[in-house]
Amino acid sequence: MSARRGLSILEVVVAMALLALGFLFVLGIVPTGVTSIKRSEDIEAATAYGMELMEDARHSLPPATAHEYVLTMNQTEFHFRRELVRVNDDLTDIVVTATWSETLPGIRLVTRVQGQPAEEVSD
Amino acid sequence: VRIAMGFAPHAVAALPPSGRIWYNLRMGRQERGTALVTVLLACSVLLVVCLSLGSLSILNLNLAGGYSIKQQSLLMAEAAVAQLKSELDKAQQADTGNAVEMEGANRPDLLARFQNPVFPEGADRFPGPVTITFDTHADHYSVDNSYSETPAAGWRDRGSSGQSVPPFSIDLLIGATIGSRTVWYEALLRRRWPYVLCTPGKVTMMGSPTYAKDGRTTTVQPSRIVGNIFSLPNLDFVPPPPSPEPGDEPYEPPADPSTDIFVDADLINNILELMPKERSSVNVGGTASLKPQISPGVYGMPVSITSTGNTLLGTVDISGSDTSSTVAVYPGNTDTGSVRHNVQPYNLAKNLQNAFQLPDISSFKELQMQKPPPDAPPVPPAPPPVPPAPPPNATDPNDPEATPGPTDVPLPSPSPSPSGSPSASPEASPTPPPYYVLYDDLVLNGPETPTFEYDESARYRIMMPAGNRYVMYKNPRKIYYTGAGIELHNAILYIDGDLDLSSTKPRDGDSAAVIPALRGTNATVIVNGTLLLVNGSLSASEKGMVIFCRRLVSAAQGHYRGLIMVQKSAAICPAFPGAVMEIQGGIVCGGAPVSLYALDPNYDPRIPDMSDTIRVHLQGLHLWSTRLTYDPRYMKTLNRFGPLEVLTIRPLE
Repeated sequence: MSARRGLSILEVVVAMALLALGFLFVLGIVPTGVTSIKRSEDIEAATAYGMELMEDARHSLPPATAHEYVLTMNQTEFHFRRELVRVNDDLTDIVVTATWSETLPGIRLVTRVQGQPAEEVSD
Repeated sequence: VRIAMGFAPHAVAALPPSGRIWYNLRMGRQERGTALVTVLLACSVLLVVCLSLGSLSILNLNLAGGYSIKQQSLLMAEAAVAQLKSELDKAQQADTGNAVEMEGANRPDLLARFQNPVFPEGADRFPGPVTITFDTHADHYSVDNSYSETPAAGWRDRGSSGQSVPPFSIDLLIGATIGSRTVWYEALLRRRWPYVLCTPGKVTMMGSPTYAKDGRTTTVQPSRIVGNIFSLPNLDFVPPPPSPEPGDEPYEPPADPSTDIFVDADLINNILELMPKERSSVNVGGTASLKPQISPGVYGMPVSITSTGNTLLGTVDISGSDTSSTVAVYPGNTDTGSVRHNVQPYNLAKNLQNAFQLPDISSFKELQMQKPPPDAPPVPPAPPPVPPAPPPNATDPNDPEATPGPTDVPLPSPSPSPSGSPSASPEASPTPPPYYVLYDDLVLNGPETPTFEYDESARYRIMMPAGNRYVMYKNPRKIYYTGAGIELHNAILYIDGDLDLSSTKPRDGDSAAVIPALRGTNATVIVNGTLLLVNGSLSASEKGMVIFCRRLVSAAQGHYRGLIMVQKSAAICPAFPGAVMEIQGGIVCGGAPVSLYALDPNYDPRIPDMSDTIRVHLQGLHLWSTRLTYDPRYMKTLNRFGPLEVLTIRPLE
């Protein structure tokens, strides 16, 4: 058998080590990427639904009582909170917050409109 | 094939080790180092895949974050616009005085205002600061052009002669900062008077939109209003009508805005002819409220009233209306002069009725009375130059030109009575008041090119009641009509008293021939009394016109493009059934009641034997068979008092 033919044990060991490092790198990158993409989707979904809540309130100002909404989108449970804050006799702030993770920050949408919140309707 | 691929066997030995390994790999031969190269290749592929995945995820995250930031910053910009609108609206509503000096101290100083934080309250709720500046040295600066009817230069025009900010507009540049990122938005806000018809009194429209039973069209055309209507039909806002007895009212030249008016029977007959159609009338109004009551749409038939509070509804296409160069002049409707006005959108009922401010007439040129033509009918005796009593709020008593009468007016000389026997009765020959008789058409021309500068040649005044009707005060008591009208080109005419164009009806009875009674091109007519138009035409060219009077009674036809402002009540009806009166622009009517008295055609209030009195009360605005179409181009006087509307808000590229 020629000395030039076949694989040496050293070669195999080095190759396996490199492969292991490569797989470790992949295992490190892939979850981060997947998480990042998931977070992107969550941000977009939260922003889009938050804007819906915002537009809904701007179209017809609801009472100032804060309302919370729980919504599941993309297999994630979102907690929305819409609150109206009187600024003065003509202006009202609409604050919409969305959270879906205990560790990551959510989003906060705030705008100001002319008008006053509707009167509370007692049951 | 291998030779063709460049791997000739004889050359393999000459290859370097890496090339030889590559060659052996391609040949399917195993050799030391082959596994390492294979693994390195695999790792490279893995690395590329991982980097791609990472890059994509980061890019995706950035895009999602950017989307979120964009939405948040847009909301912040819209909040800033709401803050500005609220402050300007409050400043406008604070102008509760009868005379609004909009060019003066009441105008908010936005440059100083926005040197302070945009949100004086609740700024901590926002995810970042918002920046607005009216300092022209800044990169992105805003421009307040909301009180000007000419365009202005904006931040886009730096270094050029462009004027990108439209009239009556605010070009607002808003910087919203979230984290380290600032997004700039540009918003365009415009002031616009939103109502085609505005009165705190009742609006009554008459005219049948249906066909008669025999298939013929009705002789009474439907009234039609296109645009928003502001009406406050609660008569609590309107003082009770006076109750004078006909004939007891002294004739007071010039007309006192607080008294009833007397018109001749032809006009009332026209109105009465239309009044039986009242069953098809449309009363436009709403619930009693100090809030604007806005009714959108087209009225030619019964409609339901929609109460929308302060929300504007309308079907009027006002796009592109800023491109017009129309200038309907109103004294003071310039950037250089003062503007005194009482119309405001939110406290209309409080201010409109008795608070119109007439312009300073000291700069007007007095008109000299025209001489009668040779074939003119007998004329009344020359009255003494009695100075007319200045109406309240009309003139400055300290104005030397305003109080004395025109002593040099060449009034016609007295002529003998046709009977040849001058009346000995003082009751039969009362001293007639000064009265400007229009013998011929009065044509007034201003400069060819209207300017905003003061131009005396374009301002005229008549210091007494005027008209084309005059009365013989000696037996036989007769009324003569000259049929003269008034035509103005780039001119302003001020009449301190009634303007009585009440007899433009042709003498031959041809109702189709209508003599022009009042016509204007870029003109303004101010009547400190009652404007009467009977059987004539009322028209204005595309350059527009403004009529300002205490009361208006118009039985005319034509296409009038402009603004009509009436302090008290107005009645507009066609010159004859079937005639078309079209008003393109808008009407503002005070809504205070007015009583009309129709008497014998030979009636004159100075003649005691009145009989067959017909009395009609007017409250607010009465439209008979009149088409009224909203056109803000002809309401520039009012546009600066309109609320701000957001035309656009968009991110800068």
